[in-house]
Amino acid sequence: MQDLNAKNIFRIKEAAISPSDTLIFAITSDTQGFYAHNDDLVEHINKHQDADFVLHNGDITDFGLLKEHKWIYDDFSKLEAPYVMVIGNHDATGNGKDLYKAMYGDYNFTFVVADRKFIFLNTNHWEFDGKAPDLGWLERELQDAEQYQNVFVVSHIPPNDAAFGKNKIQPYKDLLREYGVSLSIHGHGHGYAYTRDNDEDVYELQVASTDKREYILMKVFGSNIDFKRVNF
Amino acid sequence: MYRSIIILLTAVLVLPFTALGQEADSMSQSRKWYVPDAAVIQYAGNMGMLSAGPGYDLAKKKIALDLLFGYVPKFEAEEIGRIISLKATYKPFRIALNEKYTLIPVQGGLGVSYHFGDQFSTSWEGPIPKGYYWWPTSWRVLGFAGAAINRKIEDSTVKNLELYGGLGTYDLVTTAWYRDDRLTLWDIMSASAGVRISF
Repeated sequence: MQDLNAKNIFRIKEAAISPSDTLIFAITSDTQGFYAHNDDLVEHINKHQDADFVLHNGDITDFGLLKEHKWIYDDFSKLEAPYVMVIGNHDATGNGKDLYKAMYGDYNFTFVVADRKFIFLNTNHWEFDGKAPDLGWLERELQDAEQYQNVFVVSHIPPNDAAFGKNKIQPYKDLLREYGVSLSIHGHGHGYAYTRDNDEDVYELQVASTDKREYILMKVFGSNIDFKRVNF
Repeated sequence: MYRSIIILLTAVLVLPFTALGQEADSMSQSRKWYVPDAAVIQYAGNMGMLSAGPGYDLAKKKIALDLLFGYVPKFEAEEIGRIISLKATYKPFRIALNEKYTLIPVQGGLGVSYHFGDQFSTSWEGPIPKGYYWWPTSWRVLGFAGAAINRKIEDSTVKNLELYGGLGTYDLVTTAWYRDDRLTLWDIMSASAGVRISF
C-alpha cells in the first residue's frame, strides 16, 4: 500500500491510450466513512463503465487514520481501472499528512495521458498553515499548457470557499483562465455543482460524495469535454 | 516534556524497591499513595506499539489503574509517536485454579490517551472555524475487554505476575462503525497483550 498514485499512473501510461481515442474517466470524491456506498460505487464502475481510470477528489478518510485508509484500499483496489487520489482536508488531520504521503505520494503532482495534462493540487489551505494551494507550483506546471489538447486541474477544496484561502481564490481563477485550463475539478461540498462566476472564467465541477450515490463519467474527444452524472 | 515524564516515571518505578529496603517489615501498610503497586508493559492496544508505566490497585484489586507511556516506531512518519494513556480495568471476579494460578475470565475497561506532536491538536487553533472538526486529534477515548491469568510468587520482591490480553477499540473508529453498514465490530477491534508485575 505504498506510492499508490505513482503505481496507478504507471498503469495508466502503460495502456498507451492514443490522443485520437476518446478518453474516458470516472470521477468520485469524499468517500469518508461511506464504506457501504463505496462498495457499490466500485462495483458499478467495474460493471458499467469502460473507464481508462478513476479520479478521487479527496477526503478519502474522515480522520486521517491508517485503519480508514486500509478500509478504502479494500474497496478501491478492486477497481479494474487505475485510480488516482488527491488529498482532502480530512486526510490532512492528525497523522494524515504522513499517511497520505506514504500511501499515495506527493500532495502536488501531475501526469500526462493521451495528450491531456492532469494537474493535482493540494488546496487544503487551513490544514497546511496557509501554504496551500501552492500557486507558484501550479503556474510552473501550466507553462506547457498550450502543448496539450486539454489541461485539467484536480483538487479537493473548490475556490469560492474560505478553506481554499481567501487570498488564493482570485489568483487561482486568473491562472486557470490565462492558461486556458479546460476544467477545474473538486470535491468537498458533498453535492454536485457546475459553475463559473462569468463567461471568461473556467468552469468548476464539484463532484458529489459517495453517499449521494452519484459519480461523474467524463468523455474527452478532440478538445471536447462531455460529462454526465451517473447514479448507482 | 515527554522525556522528562519518562525520567519521572523511571524514578517512580524504582520507588517500590527503595521502599522495600527501608520498610521491609510493614511495607504493605506504610506504602505511600504514589508508590505504584505494579509495573505494566503492554503491546498494542491503541496506546502505542509498546507502552509501559506504573500501575495501581484500587477497590480491593477489583480495579487496576495504569498510566502507560507509549511509543510508536517511525515507519513512514516524520517522527516517532509518543502517547500517554490512563486506563482503568475492572476485574469483577477471580477463579483460583490452584495455589499459584488465578484466572480472571472477564475484564474490561476504559481509557483516555493523549498524543504528543505538532500534528495533533486539542482545540483546532488558527483559521479553522469552531465545530468544523468535531474531534480533537490529540485526545482519544479507548475501550477494551479481555481476560487475565495471575501467578503468585512466594518470598520475592515481585509478588504477582499477571498476563493479560484482549480486544480494544477507540472513539473515532467506533463512530465510523456506527455510521456505516459495511464495517463490522471485527473491523474496529484490535488485539493487545500485556504483563503486569506486582510488587
